[in-house]
Amino acid sequence: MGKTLQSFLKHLRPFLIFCLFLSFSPSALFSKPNLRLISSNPKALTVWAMGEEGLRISIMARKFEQENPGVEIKTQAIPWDAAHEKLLTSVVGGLPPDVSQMGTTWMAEFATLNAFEPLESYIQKSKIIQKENFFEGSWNTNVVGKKVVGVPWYVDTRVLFYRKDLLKEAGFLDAPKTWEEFKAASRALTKDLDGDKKIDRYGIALPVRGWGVFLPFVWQNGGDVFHPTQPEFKEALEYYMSFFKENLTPHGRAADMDIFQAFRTGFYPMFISGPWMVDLVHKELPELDGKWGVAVLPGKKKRTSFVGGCNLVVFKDSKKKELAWKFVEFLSRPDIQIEWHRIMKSLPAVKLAWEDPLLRDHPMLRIFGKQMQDTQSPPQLPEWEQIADTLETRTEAMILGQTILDGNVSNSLSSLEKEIEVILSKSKSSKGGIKKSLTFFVLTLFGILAFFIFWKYKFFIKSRFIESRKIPRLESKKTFSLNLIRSFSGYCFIAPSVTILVLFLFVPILASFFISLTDWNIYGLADRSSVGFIGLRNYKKVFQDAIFWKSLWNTLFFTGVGVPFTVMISLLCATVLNEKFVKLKTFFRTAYFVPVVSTIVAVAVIWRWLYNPEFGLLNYILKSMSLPEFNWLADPRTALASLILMAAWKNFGYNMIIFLAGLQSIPETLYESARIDGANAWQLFLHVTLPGLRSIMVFVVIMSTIGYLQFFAEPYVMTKGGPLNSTMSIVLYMYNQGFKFFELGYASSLAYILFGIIFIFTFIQMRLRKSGFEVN
Amino acid sequence: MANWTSVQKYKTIKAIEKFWLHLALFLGLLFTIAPFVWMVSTSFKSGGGIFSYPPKWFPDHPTLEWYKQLFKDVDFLLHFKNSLIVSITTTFFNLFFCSLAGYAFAKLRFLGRDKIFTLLMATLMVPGQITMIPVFLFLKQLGLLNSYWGLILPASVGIFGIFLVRQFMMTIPDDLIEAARIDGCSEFRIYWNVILPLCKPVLATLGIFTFMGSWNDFLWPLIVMIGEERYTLPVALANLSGQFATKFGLLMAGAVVVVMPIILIFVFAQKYVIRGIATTGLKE
Repeated sequence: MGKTLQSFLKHLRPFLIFCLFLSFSPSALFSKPNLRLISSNPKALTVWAMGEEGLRISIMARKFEQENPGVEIKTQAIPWDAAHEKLLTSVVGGLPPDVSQMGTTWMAEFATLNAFEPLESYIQKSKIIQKENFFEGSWNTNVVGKKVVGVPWYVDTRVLFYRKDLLKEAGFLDAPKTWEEFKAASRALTKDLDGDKKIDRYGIALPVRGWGVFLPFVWQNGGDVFHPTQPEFKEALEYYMSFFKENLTPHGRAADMDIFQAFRTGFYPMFISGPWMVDLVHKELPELDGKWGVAVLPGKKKRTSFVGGCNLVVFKDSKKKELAWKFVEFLSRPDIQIEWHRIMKSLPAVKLAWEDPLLRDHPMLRIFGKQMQDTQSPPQLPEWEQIADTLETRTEAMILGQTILDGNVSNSLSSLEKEIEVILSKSKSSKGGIKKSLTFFVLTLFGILAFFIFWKYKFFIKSRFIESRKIPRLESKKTFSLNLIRSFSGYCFIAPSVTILVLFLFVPILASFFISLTDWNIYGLADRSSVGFIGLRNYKKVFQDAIFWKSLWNTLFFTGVGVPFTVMISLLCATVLNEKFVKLKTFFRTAYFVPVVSTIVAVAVIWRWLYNPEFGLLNYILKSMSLPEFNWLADPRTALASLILMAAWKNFGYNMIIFLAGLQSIPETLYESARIDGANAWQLFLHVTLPGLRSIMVFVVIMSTIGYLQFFAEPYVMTKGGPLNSTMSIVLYMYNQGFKFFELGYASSLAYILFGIIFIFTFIQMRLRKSGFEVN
Repeated sequence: MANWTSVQKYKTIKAIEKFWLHLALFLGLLFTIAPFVWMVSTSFKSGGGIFSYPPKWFPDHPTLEWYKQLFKDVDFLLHFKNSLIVSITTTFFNLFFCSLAGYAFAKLRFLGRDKIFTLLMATLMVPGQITMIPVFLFLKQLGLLNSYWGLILPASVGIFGIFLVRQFMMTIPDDLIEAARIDGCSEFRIYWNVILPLCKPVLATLGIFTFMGSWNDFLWPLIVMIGEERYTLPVALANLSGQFATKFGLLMAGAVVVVMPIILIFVFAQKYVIRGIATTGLKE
């Protein structure tokens, strides 16, 4: 008995250590009062701005503090890449700053979230901020549902960049002013210079996807985005498409060509872009100085362009709104606006500032000022991203499906109009109450629990039966107590991990399952009572969603090809780099691991070059072997395969290291005895290495499958899912739905369907490799 | 005599084989490090020529201007310290917790073991993005926003790690453990003194991966760290890129600075990926 107790205590030790850990960790966790977020100073202000603006705005803040003694401004930079997510979580979490910079296309979303303070009453009292002091198009980006919720900070607009010398060569002394001139100039510019029957000078670069460039054509013709069936819209689209049909702009290659290179060589003598390009072209192509210019966009009824830029907003949760407003007023003062232009080179939003000689006399920026007089922005609706996506998908299909008859355009446009109507109508309806859904949720939970209890009970009987049969123990009488004690120490070993996983993984996953049964969208984020329980309707919708099926197929194809490919390469490299006679092992291992740690931005640049249809290495090799060339990333048939190759390259080092670790557990003696028996290298690999790696192989195959099924980074960086959704993966689609369109319910149901698919996959793999999963 | 020449012939053939193998390794190397070389060289390029095709592998006029600007704009030491605290603690917790659980799942018997394990495996398949907002709200409840623990705790154990360690430990013969048990070792001592020393290769691997994941993580630190003074290095450096006009040289300089510690850790840790002495003497 004493002995049992002793061994019991012995088994207890890990548990005691765990208790010890728990007892000291909370004190470490909560020792620091970490929420110093809201400064105690009543005159302290938190201001967020993005990227470099966020770093430089402190100069303005110091100036404001000098003018207003006692005020303290804390500025903070938010990276552009994830500013949207950061702002969203801070608003949902109730911890927004006082003032923030806000992208013009985000205004409606956050206004719907009820994040902003309405500013009418402030504007009425203000001497500095009045509507007529700002450009109209820019001011309108701040009006959401007739309420003014922000103030323009700086603007940007799109103009025509053109090569003066090449246009002159083609017989045009000035930049085109009308649609007819624009078309004529493009026709005159397009040429096959070296006579190889391939165009090496196009008229202009136009994107296949990109509403920022396309919509101005619609506006110039007096059209309306919401009514694509109107003749003005149709005419504008046909005009835009004719550039592709007549080969005045290359199909899809626009995305692949580096704009600087193309502008220098004259591949693109014209393109449409924003003010940031002025500085960049000067820096990148100093040899072109004087040979290029900018011009107001050519037009039809008007010469309208797109207006973007950034606004300043005051948050509703701010405790210092008066002071916040004062800071916004300060930033809107003409002298401060000019100063900001000096620092950041961005274009002032205040008209008065443009009368400063710095801008008035600048040969290029002056044109931007002129263009600003006639600008428009997309309608301020939270569904805008979704509408824009629908619009781009439809127009892309029409542009790339080159054999379009007149009837087809009209058909496509009327289905586009219907889709837009559906998106717009969805926002208004809201069903049911949260209570009903809660009841359902609780019931589901009980159901799951009941199932588990049943499962466990069954398992309990079964496992005891199996264990006692499988493993005959010496002390059969003590089996049960031993089992319990052994179980107990097992539970102690897994307790820390399981606790953390339950808190930070299981509970959130259950919560997201609940979300997948609701119609939670952006309106639901703002007002939780509007969230309706819709049962399995999201799932039904998923199965009717053509893009879902497309993305599912892509994902499965990617996994089916990518996994064996990557695993084979990594196994090969691992086996070779494990050989004793290989010199410089550390060096090679590190070098082969380098793709894993290389920044995705650099990786993307190099792979874009490899795949570039004109100057790329791959096409160069194909050409020199007189094989047909490909339009790798821009062709729906090759885009996915191109991404697989890139992903395999990026990830094989990861698996290689795991295999290397696995190889170390194969006893050297096995190799020695096999060698003595006369086995060659291949036989050694087949009969010693592979069986020895079995359990690690199971790991690598399962993890790669899961990784590839959750394929996201490569299409996100390289193609954004295009062309024609040929590289859209499920996770990318989910990300778009959840974080771009705020369809949280729908995104969650997508996640659960992916979960189901992966589960089935893993289950099959486990069955196939059952041996690797068992303990002995 | 004839025997001797055949040995010599054999050796020559082996040497030729080795030569070709090393040549192949070098060719593969060119392929793997090209983007990295471009990344480093771009960080020394001033202004133009960054986008030229084919890429310029070496700068014409190397400059340190981007690195100077980087260290001027970013409080490097502060963010480096934040990153280091978070990554090292996270790695430490992962190594400990994952090996504990991995050991239990591989070598201990307890009721419901395989069911629990299957459940863990199932959650591995839920895409991470969907748990972001719930975890954020939960951390807010706990008061862990803006603290290192808000980053460390949710990442302090991973199913990936548990699975990896388990699979590796399954290859260790049970005889060892039984022998230790008969000698009267407690379970914890078996784990600590017998199993862990044999697991150096897999622990080194897990350490590299965890450190790398934690060091490179971008979105989560940005969201959890409310104040700029708590930003980790990748978050702080991400501020250097603009919305449209990205200064590539500056961006690449930042990337080089972020990557270097990972490579150092890798070189250091992979030395432990060698055959353990203990396993060589074992027979299955």
